[in-house]
Formats: sequence, structure tokens, C-alpha cells
Amino acid sequence: MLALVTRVIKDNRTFFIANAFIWVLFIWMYVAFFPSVSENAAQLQEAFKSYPESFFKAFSINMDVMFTNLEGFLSIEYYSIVWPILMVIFVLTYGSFTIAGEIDRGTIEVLLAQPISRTKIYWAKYLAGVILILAFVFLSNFSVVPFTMLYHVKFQWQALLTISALGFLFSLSVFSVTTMLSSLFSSRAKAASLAGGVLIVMYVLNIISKFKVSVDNLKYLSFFHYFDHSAALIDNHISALAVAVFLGVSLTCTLAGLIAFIKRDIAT
Amino acid sequence: MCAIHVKNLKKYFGETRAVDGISFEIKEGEIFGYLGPNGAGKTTTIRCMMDFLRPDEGMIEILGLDAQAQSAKLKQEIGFLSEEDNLYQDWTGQEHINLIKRIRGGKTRESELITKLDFDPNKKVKTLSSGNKQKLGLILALMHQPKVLILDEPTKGLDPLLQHTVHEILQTEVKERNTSIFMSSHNLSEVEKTCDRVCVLKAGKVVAIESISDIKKKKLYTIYIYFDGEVPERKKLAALDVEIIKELSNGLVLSVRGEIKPVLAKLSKLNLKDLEITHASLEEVFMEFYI
Repeated sequence: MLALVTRVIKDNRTFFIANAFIWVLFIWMYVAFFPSVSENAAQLQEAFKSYPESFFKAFSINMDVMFTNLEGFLSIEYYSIVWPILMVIFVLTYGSFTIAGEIDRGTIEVLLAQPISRTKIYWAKYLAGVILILAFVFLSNFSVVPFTMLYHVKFQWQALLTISALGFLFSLSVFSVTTMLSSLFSSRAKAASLAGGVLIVMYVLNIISKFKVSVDNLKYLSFFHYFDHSAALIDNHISALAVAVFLGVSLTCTLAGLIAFIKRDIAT
Repeated sequence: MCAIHVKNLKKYFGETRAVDGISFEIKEGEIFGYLGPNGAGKTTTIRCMMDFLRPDEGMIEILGLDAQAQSAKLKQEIGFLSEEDNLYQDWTGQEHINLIKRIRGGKTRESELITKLDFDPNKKVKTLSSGNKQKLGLILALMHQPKVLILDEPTKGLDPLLQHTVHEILQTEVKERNTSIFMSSHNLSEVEKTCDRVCVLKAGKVVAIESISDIKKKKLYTIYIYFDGEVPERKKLAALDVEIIKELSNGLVLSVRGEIKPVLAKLSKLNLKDLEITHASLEEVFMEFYI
């Protein structure tokens, strides 16, 4: 199994490096921007006052800290849209390939012809994905450290651990859903587009629920509601419900994917 | 002990009966050919044997183990070659070999096979010709010295010289290691040269399982007869009870199924100048099943 895990990680190294490079550039850009944003905080806050209240609610914007500390600034500029989008792209790309991609290309036969059970193949692919996600989460969050030093910006390091934990749980849930769909379908495109569709619906539900009180409960159907970056970065807090939902979805989808892969016919 | 035992295997895809009650046994050290036109159920049978597909009914035992329940353990002893190019396009041949060595462990003999097949393992698969991809597939199937080989079109894409090398390798496997080989093929001359027995499939069902020597003795003959003088009228020839394939200026070409002695006895009463009998090729026998 270890042979397969290392092989999968090796196969994804170029993809990892390319993504990591994009991530580091984003972080650099935001940290480099922050000193000038902070200097003009009063004017920017004044300008934002004309925005409707629901806009701030929809994107979890805390005006008090948005321009005055880096945690608040990154929470809005980086973690509200850019970070989840980049992570979702990475997870969908890798997750949809785990099983459906191998069937699509026919390469699953190379693995299935070896004395290794389907359960082990599945866990090897899953474990490799978790390792890659951990590496991405670490890099996408902790790469802020050298840039804060470079631009002499204050940052509470504990918040990095909290947002990393929350980011990992969010990514694990998306990965588990995608892997389950990848086990059900023989086409990578089908698995990726369905997982992408589910996430878009979740994102829209979360936004709608914040604009209309009558559909407020819809937010509970969305991963993006539980990915409360603002609470993690500013208050250094993750809700118990978010942990339970992310872990529950991950466990359920991972096991459902495993059962589907073990039971299904594989014809390349 | 039989190496492979397939009993009443059925696999349906909706309304399509891809494999419909197939049964056969393969002895240890036997090369068993699996013949049939496209869509006859050859690859479906192989995928069930490899546990890629789960049969709807029936049983597959390989080396005494259940091919579904004990699939992973069993594959330690199986070498498999797919009909399709199912290799990782961005890997080199050596990377494929290394992964399989790490998964399987134990003694391997890839160097010997690389030399025999004249294969360069350092090139990426996407740059290889179809023949070289087939060579790599064969190396991966044979390198761990399996007791059973399951090969789907083993010489597909290879030139005649390499086909000959592959036949030699397969025959050496049987001689030196008593390997049992199950191979599907469209190449009838290859089956004729290599296999001990052959199974012919039609629309998911077995239509014949016979040894190659029995097939050759299948009593399908082509007889060329030349007359001393004019060719007799058709009415007179009706008594021969044979099929006339072609009329020549001074003779006839006949196709004879079954025992040839009674036909020869009847022919001897005709005014013959010359006679030539040939055994039908495997291809002609094969076609008999589908006409």
C-alpha cells in the first residue's frame, strides 16, 4: 500500500508545485497590500458604509477589523473566496481522478491485476489525497509567516493553527464527497462536474440564506456556512457543530465510496 | 488438478447477455486458446476471471481458489495482459516495473525479459509504439514468474518476428515452469501453433472446446479432383453427397465434412486423372462455427 501512496504523491508533484506557487503569490500579494490598506483604514471603512448590511452578512465581513489587522483583512480577501476556490479546484482535480480517472484511462487494470485488494487501493488513493491536502493546507496558510516578517506586519500565530484546522476539515469533506462520486462513476469528468455542481449549489444556498431570513435554515446544508473563516482567524474559534458536520460527512462519504468501489464492476 | 475451472459463468449487462453459461477447465501446464469474434464474450470472461467484473451467476476457481473471494491472494500467482493499452502514459517502462516489484516483492526476472524482447525501459509509455507497449505489458505479466497467465491478445501489434519470440517465451514458460496459459486471440495461426486446446465462443456461449489436433482432424477437407476427359454432369455427382465449391475446366473443388473414406470410395468409381486432399485450416474450421 505504501508503494502506491508514494507513487500517487510522486505523480502529483508537478501539479502540487504549480498550485503551491499560485498560492504563495496570492499570499504575498495580500500581505504586501496590507500596510497601505491599514494606513487608509478610516477612508476605506467610510466608503464601505454605503454597502447594504446583507452584503457584509453574506461574506462574513467584520468592518471593525477588516482594514485594521491582517487577520481580518485575510479573512475577507483571501479566505472568503480565493482560498476555498483554489482548494476546491485542487481537491476536485485530484479527488475525481482517484478512481474514476483511473477507470477512464484504463490504468486501474494495472493496479487491479496486482495482489492488492480493492480496499487497499482505495485507502492508498485516499491516504495520498489526505497527505496532499495537509501539505496544501499547511503551505497555503503558513506561507504568510515569511511575508509578515518581510513587511513587518503583526499577526497572531495561533490563528494560523485554527484556520488550518478548519481549512483541513473543509477540504477533507469536499475530498470525501468527490472520492465517493469518483468511486460511483467511470468517467472523471462526470465525477468532477457532479461534485462541482454540489459545491456551487452549497455556495449559493449559503449566500441566499444570508440575504433572506425566511430561508435562513438553508445555510445548514452548505459546507461554506461551517467554514467560518472569520471566527477562526479573528476569534480563534471553530464551532463544535462545524467539526461534527465536516467529520460526519467525511466519514460517511469515505465509507460509501469504499463500499461502492468494492462492489462495482470495473470495465475500462 | 485443473489450473482454471469456470462453471456456468453468466454476466449480463442489462438485456445484453455478454457471457451466458460458459463452462471450461484448463489443466496445469496447458495453453488454452479462447476464440471468438468481437462481442462473443472473450474479454468479459477474462474480466470476470480477474475479478474486474462480478459474475451474475456461476463460479470461477483458479489454482483451487475462488477468483472473487480470494482475488488478491490469487493474483500473486497470476500474470495478466490486457487487450487495451492500459499503461500510465506519463511513466516509463521502468517506473511500471518498479511499482509492480514493490507491490509484489519476491524474485523477478524483468532483466531477462527486457533482453529477450529487446525493450527500452527508460522511455515514457506515451512515446512508445503499440508493439513496444505490448512488450511492456508482457514483461509486467511475466516478470514475477506466475503459475497462471491470462493473456488478452498477447501478440496484438507485434511484428511476425516478435510474435515468434512471444510464442517461444510462452512455450518455455510451460516447459520450464509448468505455467498454465489462458489466451484469447483473433490470430488463428497463432492459436494453431501455440495452443493445446481451444474454446470457441459465439454470442456468449461455448460452441466447441477441442484440442488443436482434434480440430485439425475435424474432418473438414478440401478435395481437388481432376478428370481424365470431360467433367461428369452434376446429376452423376449428386451421389457423392459433397459440396462443390468451384468448377475447374477439367475438374472440381469439393468441400467434405465428416468421414472422408466413403467419399473416396465413391470418387474411385469416377474416371479420375488426379486427386489432391488438404486439411482445412483452423480459420476454415473457425468459420464453420459461424456460418
